Amino acid sequence: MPIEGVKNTQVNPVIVVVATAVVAMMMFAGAYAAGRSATKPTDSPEYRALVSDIADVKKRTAANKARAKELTDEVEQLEEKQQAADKRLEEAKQAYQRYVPAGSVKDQPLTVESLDVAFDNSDGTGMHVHPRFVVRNTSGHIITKIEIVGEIVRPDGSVVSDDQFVSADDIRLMPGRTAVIEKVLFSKVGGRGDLFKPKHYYYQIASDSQSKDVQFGGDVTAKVIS
Amino acid sequence: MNDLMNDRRAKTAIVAAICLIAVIAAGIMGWNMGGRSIDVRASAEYQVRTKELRRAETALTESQQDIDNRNTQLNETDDAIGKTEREMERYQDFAKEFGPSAGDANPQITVKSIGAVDAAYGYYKIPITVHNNTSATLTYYEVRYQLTDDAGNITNTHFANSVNGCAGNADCTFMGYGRFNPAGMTLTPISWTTGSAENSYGHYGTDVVTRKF
Repeated sequence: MPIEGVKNTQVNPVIVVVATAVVAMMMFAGAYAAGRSATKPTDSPEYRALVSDIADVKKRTAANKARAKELTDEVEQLEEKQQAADKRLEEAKQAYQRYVPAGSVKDQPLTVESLDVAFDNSDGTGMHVHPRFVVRNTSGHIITKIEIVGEIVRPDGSVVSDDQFVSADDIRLMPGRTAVIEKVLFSKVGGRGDLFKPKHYYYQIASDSQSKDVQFGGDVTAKVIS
Repeated sequence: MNDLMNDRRAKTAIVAAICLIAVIAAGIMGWNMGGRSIDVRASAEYQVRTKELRRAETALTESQQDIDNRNTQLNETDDAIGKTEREMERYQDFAKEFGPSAGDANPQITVKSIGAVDAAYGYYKIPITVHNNTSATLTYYEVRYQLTDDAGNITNTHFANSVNGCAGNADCTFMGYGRFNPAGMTLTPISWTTGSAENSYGHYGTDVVTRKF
């Protein structure tokens, strides 16, 4: 019951709550906007981490560039060294090729340039079979001994005499040069019309102590004794 | 009546304080949440830096590639130099074969001179003088030789021998005798022999006495 003499100054509590809520919401909204605009992304830990990463990457790149420069100098020096080595190789090659011209080495160490077989009295001891080879040294080495082995056959292919040696036992035949290898075969090993057939040969080079046995190729054919 | 007024004043003060706290709290909360609502990663500054990082990483990768390339170059060049040097040594070894070479040690006879050719009746005699390096008389001695043209092709191989004996430490002359005309050829002694006993055969070296006819 209202008291006399006292004005009714009591406010409605609902109005207080609502008013407070409204003010609070406005305050929140205002503070939210203010807080948002006052916050700088550049102060955040994520941003600072990003900046730090960039600096680190740039530092490593700079270090790499410095190292690359050092390596470039090393490469240049090494290329000069290579040129010098190439030059020395060329000189060594040319010195070698003075003795063994390019193309003078073949699969066959001895290449038969010609074969003539006469039946003559060339050594004054009577008529004998006289094979005369001209062979070229295609071995690439100095040859010190050549022994050619052939047989004498009749035109029908039957063997008249076997194991006929035509040799030059003590020579110094340089690569690419030719040598005359001839022999007067002393026993009655055959006659005019028969054929001298080269089979194989032994040859020895200066640096070896033993000779090698090589079969003639199919290009070396029998020669008629004339 | 004053009590009532005081009571009411106290109540109002409390209510006012609560309202104020509520508002302040809202303000603080609003400020914090506002700040936290900023998406750093979406911000323009962050985007710019992100691009910068990408570019920097690309540059780093390229700089590393540069180093790798140069190292590869170094290794390849080093290998090539090694190969070149080995090939050079190969050619040098080969060439040694064609350089001067010594004959067998202690030859029993040494060629001192080769005389002019004596031609008669289609036969050619070549005089060769040797020194007997032994103190014993040699009953047989022989020198084998080759004749070469100016290009170095061997045109004839033959020998000179003697059964006339050669006294110890003496010079003896004997003949190469045959039907091959040595005119224009160079005679090079290749080997010597004094019989079939041991150590009775040897090769001459590249320093042997020669003669061009």
